[in-house]
Amino acid sequence: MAVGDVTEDRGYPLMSRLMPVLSKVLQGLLTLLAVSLLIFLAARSLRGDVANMILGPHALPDQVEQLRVQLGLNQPLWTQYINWLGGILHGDWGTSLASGRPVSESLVIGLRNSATLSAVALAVMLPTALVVGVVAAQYRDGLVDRIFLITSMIFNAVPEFVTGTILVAIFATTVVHWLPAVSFIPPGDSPISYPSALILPATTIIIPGVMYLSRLVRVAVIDVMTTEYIQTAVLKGLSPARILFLHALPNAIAPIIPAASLVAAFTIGGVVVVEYLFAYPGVGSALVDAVTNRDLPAIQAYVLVIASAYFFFNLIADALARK
Amino acid sequence: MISAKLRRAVAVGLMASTALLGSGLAALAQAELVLGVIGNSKDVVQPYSPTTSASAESLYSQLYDNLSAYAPDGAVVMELAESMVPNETLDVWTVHLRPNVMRHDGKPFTADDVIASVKYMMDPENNFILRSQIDFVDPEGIRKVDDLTVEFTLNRPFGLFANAFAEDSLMMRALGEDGEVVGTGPFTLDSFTPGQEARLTRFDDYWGDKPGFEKLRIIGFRDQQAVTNALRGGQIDVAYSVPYTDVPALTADPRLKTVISGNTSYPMLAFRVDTEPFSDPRVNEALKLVVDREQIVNNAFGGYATVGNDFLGNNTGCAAPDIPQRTQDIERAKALLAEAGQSDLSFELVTDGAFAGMMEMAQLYAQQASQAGITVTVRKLDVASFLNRWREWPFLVSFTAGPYEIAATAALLPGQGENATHFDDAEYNELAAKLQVEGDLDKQCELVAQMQAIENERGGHIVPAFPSNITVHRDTVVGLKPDLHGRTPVEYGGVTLNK
Amino acid sequence: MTTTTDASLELPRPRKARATGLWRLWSSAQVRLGVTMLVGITILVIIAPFLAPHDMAAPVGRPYAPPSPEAWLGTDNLGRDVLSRVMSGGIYLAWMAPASALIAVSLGAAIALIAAYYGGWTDLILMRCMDVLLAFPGILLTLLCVSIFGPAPPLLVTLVVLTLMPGVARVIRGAALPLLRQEYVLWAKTVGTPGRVIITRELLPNVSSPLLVELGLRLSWSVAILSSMSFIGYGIQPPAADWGLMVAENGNGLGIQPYAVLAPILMIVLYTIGGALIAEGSARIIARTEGEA
Repeated sequence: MAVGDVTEDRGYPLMSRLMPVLSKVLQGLLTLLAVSLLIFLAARSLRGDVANMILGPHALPDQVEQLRVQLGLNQPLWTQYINWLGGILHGDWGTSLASGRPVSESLVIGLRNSATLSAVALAVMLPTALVVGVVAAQYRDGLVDRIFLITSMIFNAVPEFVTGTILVAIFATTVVHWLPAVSFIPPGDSPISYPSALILPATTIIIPGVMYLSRLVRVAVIDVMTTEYIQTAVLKGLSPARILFLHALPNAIAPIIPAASLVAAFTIGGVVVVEYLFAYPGVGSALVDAVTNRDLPAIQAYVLVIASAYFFFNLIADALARK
Repeated sequence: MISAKLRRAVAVGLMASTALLGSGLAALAQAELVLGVIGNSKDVVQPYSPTTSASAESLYSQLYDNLSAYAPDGAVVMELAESMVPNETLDVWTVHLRPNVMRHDGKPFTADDVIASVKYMMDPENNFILRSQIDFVDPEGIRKVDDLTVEFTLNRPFGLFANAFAEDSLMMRALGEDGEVVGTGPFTLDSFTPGQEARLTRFDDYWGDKPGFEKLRIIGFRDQQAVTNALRGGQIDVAYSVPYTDVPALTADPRLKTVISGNTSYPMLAFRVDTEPFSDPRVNEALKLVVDREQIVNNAFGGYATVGNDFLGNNTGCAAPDIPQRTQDIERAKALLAEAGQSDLSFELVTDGAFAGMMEMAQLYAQQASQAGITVTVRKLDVASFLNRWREWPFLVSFTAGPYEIAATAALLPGQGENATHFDDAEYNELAAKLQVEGDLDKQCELVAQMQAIENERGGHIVPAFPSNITVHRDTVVGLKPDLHGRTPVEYGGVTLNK
Repeated sequence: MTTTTDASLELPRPRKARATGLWRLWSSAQVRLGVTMLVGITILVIIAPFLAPHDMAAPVGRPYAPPSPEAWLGTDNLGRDVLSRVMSGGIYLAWMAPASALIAVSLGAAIALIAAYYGGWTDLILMRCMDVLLAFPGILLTLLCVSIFGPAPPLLVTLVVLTLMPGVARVIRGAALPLLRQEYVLWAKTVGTPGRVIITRELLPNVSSPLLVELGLRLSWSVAILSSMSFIGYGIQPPAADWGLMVAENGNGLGIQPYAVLAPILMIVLYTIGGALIAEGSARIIARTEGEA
């Protein structure tokens, strides 16, 4: 922050634009380092000994001790932390205590599945939000607008598992049986090849997202439409469609871009519950599994990746909002 | 660093998906049975894993065979062995192998494979829990007589040799030339992702009863609800298990069928008999008297169970001991507690809810006990925390699996890792020792009945119900058989698929 | 002290900007409806033990029995009365959600006002801490902490507070910054009024409306987070009756006994919407007042 102020005084326009972002990135990296330490300590203090968990109830004490040594759990904490962090910097996320395979293997699959789900959700969410918001703004204070405001308030308020459960009841189990209630995607296959498995989880993410973003679009469009600039255009006799698409919309999109980035961050954070609900094989459900399995390297990797992605999108939102 | 990671992730992912898409399309051409099971990401391909899980057992039963095995009706039969013959003193056993058994790599299965497998199981370096189940075997005393004959010199006389080797976990495997683990079972492994998926192809040189379909896929789900939903949605053909209370919901679907059979694995309540106040015989009896067994049968197990009488072993092939059935008697329980000075007894009942019926049974027991003024707080822990203090919990939901002579001795003899109740009864121990060296079936039954009567009176187990095993499958699967050991969903000999 | 009086004599005390009185918010039909819903649910939960037709822990029939005169909403996965459980199932939420929201908003507001008023390093450090908290998705924190310490209600409340507080702090700081340039605040500073007095007497009353918006919003979110925790098994534990937990427990019976899932869902929806209505109604009144000013 202080550095940014100094350069601004000396008057380098580009630097003054870049420095806050750079310092933000630097702060972000420090934050992530702090987060990594927290994750490490938190994961290490999980109740239930990993060795015991792996060996099961029949295990005798000497067998447990032998495994603890094998897993390096008897080393001092700080040694374990340095080893872990050093490994990540070399692209080695450690070996899953559960499967005995590199964590990066399942991380890759989980990341791809989660990223696909988020991308599909966002790809549908953004244009839909734009259309819904513009339509609501066009009918400002009319019946359509009122219905929209009430619906969006409801869907913004209720938790994702409620929306998801209702969708499952309607489309998968109780009313009709059109879509699968669990999203099974064979490991290694791309989720894109299983569109029916994507529909319900994506919809569960899309609905609240659309409801949130379209409200912002609505307000932005209403604001733009009341500016002198648009009023002049109206007086000039330009067609309403032309005004809307050429003048109002570009101005209305600006404020929702950072918001969309924020929604992307929320999608990643909130995806845990949605993935859990649909047993979707992404990082979220993998994390829940890892916590249940006491799989320390996996827990650390998943939390760090989710936190990084979340942070990354927050940073983008911040940078975009700054412009 | 993250973006590089991500790029690599995407690249690897794309390659993997293209490769698998190809193989996936090829597989479509052949009939494939899909089994849904709760997946455990700790599963490994080789059969001697430290933990048991439904997903691992489903896989192992396709890839490997035992020397001996339990038949669907509970009797011990020969698998890879043709016969097991003891000497007079029961301390030297000669195992004759079945001829012409082929391994998945096309080589014959021989005595060398048996010896290597058993030595590997017993190797202290490997830390396998199952080592304690065959601790009568002396690894140095195993001798190859010829390619199809192995001689075991035991470290003590042991009569239940065939029974012990029939235990599911004691499977035989061979090592291929490249060190790969090779089995002899009805399927060969094509691909495997722990906890998520295994793809298998029928092994056409299998020695036993062959399945009537070409391909098998085992899909690992996270929980019971996901399995049930997948079955209902048609994504799987057979569910390894379903919650008892879901059966009515599932059978309402005309495309789903059920196979119901007796079962040797079930949850039970257990308390430490070596700890106050449970060490008091009056408290012991009161804790058993508060149970409304009918309600547990109906509400925890959806009616798919028979009433239990606080001893293990409902399918021993022997008659039940001649003791009265215990029924709910709140007044008597209250009186006993008052006598023992424990009228306001209060404790925690811990469970991990890992098996169908556990959580339900715990909640119902808490409710029933409250009628006698006992405060039971149900505490659900995750599996890790629960197992971590397995032998410490004063009151827990325990689980038993397998035939009586194996399961009961593991859970009730002193010093056994599975003895959560810390039961150590001189009379019982003596009977158990006799059972281990008794070859005669009738005399075995006599001993079992006496042991069960002791459990009923002094044991720390409350066995409210013996639940059935229920397998729900789609009507396209034909020929699944009832099985006392819960293998209905994974035994595919003669099973066909009408897809 | 003397300087204070001197200064106050010299400088004319400026008129305070008109703060949106909390009473004004009551004129919003949405706020009234929201408050009524929340109060109604709370009363229902409190009197449930006296009103419920059955013991919520005892089975009254076979599992997943359809509605009958005995059990109006049918039975759940253990054969317990759904109606009685739904009535009692809000008892944890009824105190945990308001407690979480109140603590999160109070702490968030306190941090925001202190940061805004003192500025400089205080502002930087406090808001940076909030950013670190924001950088960590709440659900991860919950998963980790609950697996370490177990799902005790006070811990759950703390986790929700930690999740919600940074957002509150950001919003309130944003609302407080313009106030610092108001004449009456500048005047109070000039006459040497202590910082904590300015914060509590001048700043706090003037952010009371956005605070109420935050309270409504965060209450709604608290309910959502807490019931989601129960749903994924990291919140209230069985055999307790809890709406989120009931949805999870009876999810398998959705095909034959949908009421066991839909009834608790309805309660969660009503509770969350109650909070959202208060937030939305208040925000509108504030916008209208600002428009008039």
